[in-house]
Amino acid sequence: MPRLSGKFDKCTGCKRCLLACSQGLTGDIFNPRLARMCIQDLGAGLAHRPVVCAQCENAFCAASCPVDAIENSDGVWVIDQDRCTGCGLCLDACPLRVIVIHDGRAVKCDLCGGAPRCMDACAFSALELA
Amino acid sequence: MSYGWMGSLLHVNLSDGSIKDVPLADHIREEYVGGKGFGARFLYDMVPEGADSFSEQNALMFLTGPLTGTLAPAMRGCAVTKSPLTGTFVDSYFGGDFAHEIKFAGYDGIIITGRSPSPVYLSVTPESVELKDARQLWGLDTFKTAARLREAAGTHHAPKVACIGPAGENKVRFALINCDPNRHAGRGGCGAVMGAKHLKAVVVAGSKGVRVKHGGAFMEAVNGALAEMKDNPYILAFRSDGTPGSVPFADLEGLLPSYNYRGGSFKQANRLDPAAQKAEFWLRDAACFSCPIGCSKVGMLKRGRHRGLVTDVVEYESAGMIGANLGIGDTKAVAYLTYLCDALGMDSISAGGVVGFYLECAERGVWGNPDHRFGDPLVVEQLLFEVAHRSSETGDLLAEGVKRASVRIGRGATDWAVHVKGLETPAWGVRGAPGMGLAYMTGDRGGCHQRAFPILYEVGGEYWKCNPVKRLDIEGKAEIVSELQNYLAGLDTLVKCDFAQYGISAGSYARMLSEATGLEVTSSDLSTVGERIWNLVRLFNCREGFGRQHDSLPLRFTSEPLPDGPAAGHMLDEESCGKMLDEYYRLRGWDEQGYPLPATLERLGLRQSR
Repeated sequence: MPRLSGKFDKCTGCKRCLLACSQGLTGDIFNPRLARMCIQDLGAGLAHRPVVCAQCENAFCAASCPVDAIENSDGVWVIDQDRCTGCGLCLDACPLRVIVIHDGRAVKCDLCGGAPRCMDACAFSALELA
Repeated sequence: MSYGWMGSLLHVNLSDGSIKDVPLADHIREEYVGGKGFGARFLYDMVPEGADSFSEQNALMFLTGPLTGTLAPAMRGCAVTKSPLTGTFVDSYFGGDFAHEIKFAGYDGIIITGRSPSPVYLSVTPESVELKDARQLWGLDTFKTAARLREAAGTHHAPKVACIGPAGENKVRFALINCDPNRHAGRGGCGAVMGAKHLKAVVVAGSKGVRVKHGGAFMEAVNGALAEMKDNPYILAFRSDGTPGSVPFADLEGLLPSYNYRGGSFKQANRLDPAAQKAEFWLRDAACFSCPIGCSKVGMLKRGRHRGLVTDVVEYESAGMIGANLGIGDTKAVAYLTYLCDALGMDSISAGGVVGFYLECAERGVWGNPDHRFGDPLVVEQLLFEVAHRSSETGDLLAEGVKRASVRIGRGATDWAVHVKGLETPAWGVRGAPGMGLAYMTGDRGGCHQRAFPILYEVGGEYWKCNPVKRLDIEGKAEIVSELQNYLAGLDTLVKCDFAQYGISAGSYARMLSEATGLEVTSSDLSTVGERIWNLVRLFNCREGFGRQHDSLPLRFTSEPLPDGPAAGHMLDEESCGKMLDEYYRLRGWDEQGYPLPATLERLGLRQSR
């Protein structure tokens, strides 16, 4: 599976990616704080950096999960919603802060099955799959 | 369950410190939708006739629309209050993140009444709503204020901030509210009202979501709007050049004010256009929340006295009013002076109008320092500080706005005071565009280009209802102006972006609104809502004593022929103005004095308001 990455030189800080991500999760709710990614303000208004799940080789989220609910499937770390207890340890372990709790369970980027909604929502080509 | 709307308003009374949630009534949603509509209704109902704008009787509101906070492209918010500059209703719009965050905090709007005994700021987090001491922030500029408040809140909440600078604190009558990040409720002195209330800032962090009624159909409507925008030439131009893309057009057509509106073109206009700005500082595109256009350009000045300053695009209005109107043809200087207006917390349109007026006074030897000349950025810089702090006799006088300053100076100064109802006019001359003149005359908040922009049809070549429009004609302009005012007021309930609406059809706006809220709304419904609002605001202004005699243009436009451009020699004399006004009142269903007729109010469901 290819990897999603964000480009600060293209990002305008519009955050449509966050809205699309939250809508993908909920179907009818727009809430940037439910997005499984974030837009980092690089200060003084000069730039924004889209931060997305790195699908790490050494995934702290998976390693810190007390019930082994996070598994690698073809290069993408996926949270088993039945096993997840919503304890939130993976949120704290993730240095990129791109895991959120929704309906009592942890949720993270699964690349929307290969066609990320965030990338589709970006009008500025600041997100790419490579 | 509430769809589109959050269903609640936050009401804060600064006099007694009370804070309460007020449910949003169903009929208010249906009749007024949001934004400007809510503002018109609430201001009319809450602020008594004749209330001093700076008194605790005045209300200041931050309002959103049902599409704010969603993927509907480029929605915004507005500040509404009784203007200390004009004494009319004023609605001032801002992009950025702040309005959306109000929705995420669970509110459709924040209504501030009363006056705090000492400086405070309002803090809204998922855990609490409280007033906090702002004495340590009093005196700070807008950028430092916002940075301090963000720092104090920490990264956990990452709040959005709306705040005032020294100009607002000192009740400069055209002070703005700086909304995260560096977007402004600029016009009409909303920041001065905030200062009078001793409210330094509103800091909002929310954790709720905006729910739409039909998720799938709503996204289809959004994608339809995006498809319309994609290849629209106006949208493409905003994306590549931002609003200063209009500088060459306005200069060529004699619409760009220069030297306190004496001229309609500027020899150094090419030093303020997108190419000049790009060469001096642009680094990247920036966009307001949920905007796919990105008309803002951010960068760092690479030369000159202010080398290293990180700042935003010099918008068309600032290029016109701080640049051409003050005779300054230097992007670097204009970028810095505009930044200074933002930091001190003053509307750069009014600031350019006020300083231009002063420089003409000085040139004529009527007031001020006779050595002060047009074209000197250092003089302007000094004046901006003096105005924001009211630290000199001239600064204190100019802080009152062009209208009051000209009356106090006397000696004929009102002859070159360019304003309508006290609002300094924006950077679009009207002597070669009569419809634009009518739009200024009848603008609900005074001389404003955003309530209707007939220049697009008169000069820009767009057809009106499939017919070309003759530029200098007087007849027929009233229809264009009144219908644009209705339609745009309707969109200002959502709350639309002025630039995005160039690329989004009325049908798409109505579809997005319908799918988000579950109400069946057509594009003509939007215009009807707009007409209702326009009449309600007129009732507010009439109640404050405004009428036909105030629907007028400054002497410069009615008796001094335009010296340059394709419409050279033209002006909008009193007779032409009167004709347009008669036609306009007739179309609106108002009497000869500009008061809405009973049948008009009844048709719009405003009967109970009288």
